[in-house]
Amino acid sequence: MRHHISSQHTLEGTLRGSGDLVIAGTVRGDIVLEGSVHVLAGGSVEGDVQCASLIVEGRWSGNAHLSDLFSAHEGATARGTLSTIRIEVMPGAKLQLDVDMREPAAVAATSPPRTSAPAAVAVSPPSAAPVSAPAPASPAPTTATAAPDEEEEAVEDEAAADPGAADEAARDEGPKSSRKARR
Amino acid sequence: MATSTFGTKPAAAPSAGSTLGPGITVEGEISGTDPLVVQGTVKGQVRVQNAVTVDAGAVVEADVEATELRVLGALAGNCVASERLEVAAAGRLIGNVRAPRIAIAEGAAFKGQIDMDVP
Repeated sequence: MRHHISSQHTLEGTLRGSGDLVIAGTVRGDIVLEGSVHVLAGGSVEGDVQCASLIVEGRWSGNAHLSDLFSAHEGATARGTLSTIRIEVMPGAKLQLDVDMREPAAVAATSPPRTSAPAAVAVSPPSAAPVSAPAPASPAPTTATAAPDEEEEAVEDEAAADPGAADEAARDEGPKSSRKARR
Repeated sequence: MATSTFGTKPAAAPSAGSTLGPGITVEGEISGTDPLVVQGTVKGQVRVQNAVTVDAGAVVEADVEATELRVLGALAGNCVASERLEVAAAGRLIGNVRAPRIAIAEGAAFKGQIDMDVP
């Protein structure tokens, strides 16, 4: 079933149910739908969206939890957080989103709660916001100490292969590398 | 699973007016100037400066303001129609109604007050 909100209508409240929803007007509130939500150019949605696919040609802001596809067309404006399986962004779309892309299998197994931290990737941040990756589940203290050793070993290998180059590197890199190279 | 719409021309907007088909429930307020057809469930308030149709199978628990109101499903709420109100044979209307012209078909269910003294 296809539902349609015309360009001259404003809906304030929640929409729930099944079918595909096409929005040419304004919706302020949450949408929970088994089908797709399509925000046409000129249409506007301010609210959380939980559905299969969200296709934006107009404006959308809020949190979206999708089981299939997020699509932003040219001229679209999207702001908020997004959890989805597939994503497509066309040239000319303006996005300010925290995106969490999940594996389809993970969705089939367990649908994560909407409060789960979605900020894995930032797409087109307005400022130079850092891309924050979630911290590893188990800390690995040996990793931090292992890294410099690997670097030193690399220098050693280089020195073994080409002593001249190693001396050159030693001059450039200071006393620590120099000591290694001489070894 | 929806197919990608990448590179395709956006879908054309359906004809004027909103349609809330069966299977959807709206809780809140709907307002505007286009015609509205309700086939699902609406709870809250409807204020439309155009025709509103509560279709067969629809359940509306809301006060409704419209120019023309047709009830073929179930409507519970106070209704104001600036032009016309019609309750079809299969329609059920519970609430007070105000409209200059009112038609209630034989077989329809109605409970409430009628006020046709509309200037």
